[in-house]
Amino acid sequence: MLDEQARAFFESACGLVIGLADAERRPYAQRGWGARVVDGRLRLVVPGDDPYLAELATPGAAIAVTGADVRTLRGLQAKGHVIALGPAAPADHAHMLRHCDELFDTIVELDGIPRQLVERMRPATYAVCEIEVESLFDQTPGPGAGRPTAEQQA
Amino acid sequence: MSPQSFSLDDLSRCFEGSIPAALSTCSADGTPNVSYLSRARRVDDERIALSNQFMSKTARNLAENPHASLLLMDVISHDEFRLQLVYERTERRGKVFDQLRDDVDVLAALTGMQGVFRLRTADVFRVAQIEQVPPHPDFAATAQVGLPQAIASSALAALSARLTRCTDLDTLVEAVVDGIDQSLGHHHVSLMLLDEAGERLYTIASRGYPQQGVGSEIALGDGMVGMAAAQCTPMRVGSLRQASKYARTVRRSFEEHGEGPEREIPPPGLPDADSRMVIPAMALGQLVGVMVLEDARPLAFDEQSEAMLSIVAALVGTTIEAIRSEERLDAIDQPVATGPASGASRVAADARVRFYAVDGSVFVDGAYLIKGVAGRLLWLLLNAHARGQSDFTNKELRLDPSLQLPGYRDNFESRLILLKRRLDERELPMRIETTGRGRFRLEVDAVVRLEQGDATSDGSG
Repeated sequence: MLDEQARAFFESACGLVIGLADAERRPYAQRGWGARVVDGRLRLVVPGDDPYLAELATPGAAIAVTGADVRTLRGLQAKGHVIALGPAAPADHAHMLRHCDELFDTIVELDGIPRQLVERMRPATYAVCEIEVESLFDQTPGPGAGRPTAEQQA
Repeated sequence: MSPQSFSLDDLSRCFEGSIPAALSTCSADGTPNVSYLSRARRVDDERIALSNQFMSKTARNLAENPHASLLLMDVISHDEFRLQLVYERTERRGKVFDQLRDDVDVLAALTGMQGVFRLRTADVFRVAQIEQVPPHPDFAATAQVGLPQAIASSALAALSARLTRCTDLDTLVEAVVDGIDQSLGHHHVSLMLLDEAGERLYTIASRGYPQQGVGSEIALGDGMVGMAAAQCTPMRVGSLRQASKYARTVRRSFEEHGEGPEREIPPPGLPDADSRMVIPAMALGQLVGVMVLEDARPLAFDEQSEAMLSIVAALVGTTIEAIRSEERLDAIDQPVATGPASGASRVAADARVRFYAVDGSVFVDGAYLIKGVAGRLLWLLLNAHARGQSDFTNKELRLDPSLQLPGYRDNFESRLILLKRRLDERELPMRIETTGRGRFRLEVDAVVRLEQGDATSDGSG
């Protein structure tokens, strides 16, 4: 499902937000802090100190991940289901550090926000949510927002 | 989830900024959706409204399932809050819709997308729960950085008193920008007036910028300044860098290709402005001009400063109209008096003045100076000066058909002050000196060569 373009996008230093829902279909938004594609699945770094996220991100749970390029505002949304939530591997940790550094550098450069304030967003602890992606949607603000990507339509 | 410990009062700065919020909804079959939205507004103590421009999937989900989760960020502290929401209704008119529409219009104006990027609906939600997303413990908040400074009522009173003592337009416009700088503590301000046709704004005075930009113009409805003027509504943006990210990229691209208008004076502006507020000045229900304030800090202007500056703008608008009315009456009463050209004792250099009748534009030694009524006025004055006249009255000039002034609202004094300030700004060897009420002298310290089209004439100062 994740082609090279989508893989490159989600592995870049984009802003990531995930959406989950409970049994009553009440959604829950949380940030993600870097993603890698391994064996066709998305390995998304999430805060490790969010018990409610851990409660929702059970195997099989539906999940959405939207990434936004902070320079161009181009956006892409992946929808699928959770394979597992677990501890991060060293490669996930290293990717998360690179992701945060690059993302925060860009925010400081573009928006003039003091680094200390941006650093407040960095997760103190982290886990990894493994996701099987089933569909992709263009999420760039504009009339095409929400449409399936061209690759998916083809 | 942690129990509610925040109210919407605690989140006031989240509704001022332009950091995109992230909204998660969920369809009837339990599939979540995450999209970004441009603006959130507080409706009352329990409700917020979210802008809906493009969120068709979000709208479908909310029709099936009213629950939503929103991540919202404080633009100063970068504290992030998660709001659990319950959708109540969609508004397409009314106060809440109008507020959000204005917010979205300002964002659209920054990117030249007026009429394209516009609010469809305002979705109103009840806030069920607010919690703070825990920040990293090693980085303390510096929440006091950049908070708007409160304007003391005594400072406002002092400025008001100063403005009411002004008896002519030149003194008034200087008092406005100086007073806002010195008395109110906003150090980057420009005053723009509406032109005779009611179609464009032109800068008549500014303070706190490397270039004064006197004579620079903005069309009504164009960009944030033009839009505030066209709608006669104050507008402010608290995180301009975020909001205008896309606009700056487009502009930079134009500049890299060497394109763009060449014969325009750039409006004064801070290159690193993060806050901007535009306050229309009105009189008798009519737009007179706008005050534009900028600040490098985010959220430098709040509701209090908007209210205070609106009082100043109202005073400025009515005072300008009062001065104009009085000068029009003076013009009827005063006899026309002219004087010979002043001597050429201080002649220091040559100046080549070229005039284009098509738009009244004037170039001095090849550099653009001014256009329109002010340009035609300078051309008229220099030709009269070449014939030996240096003293003028507003009355005689106002009646000159070559200025192409409209009969009902000529704004002659504004154009004269604009010309005077533009000559001073450029430090040209010609200047306008006030010699009495409705009277002035053209001082020329150069041998002036006047050129128009193929015709050329010599005049000496």
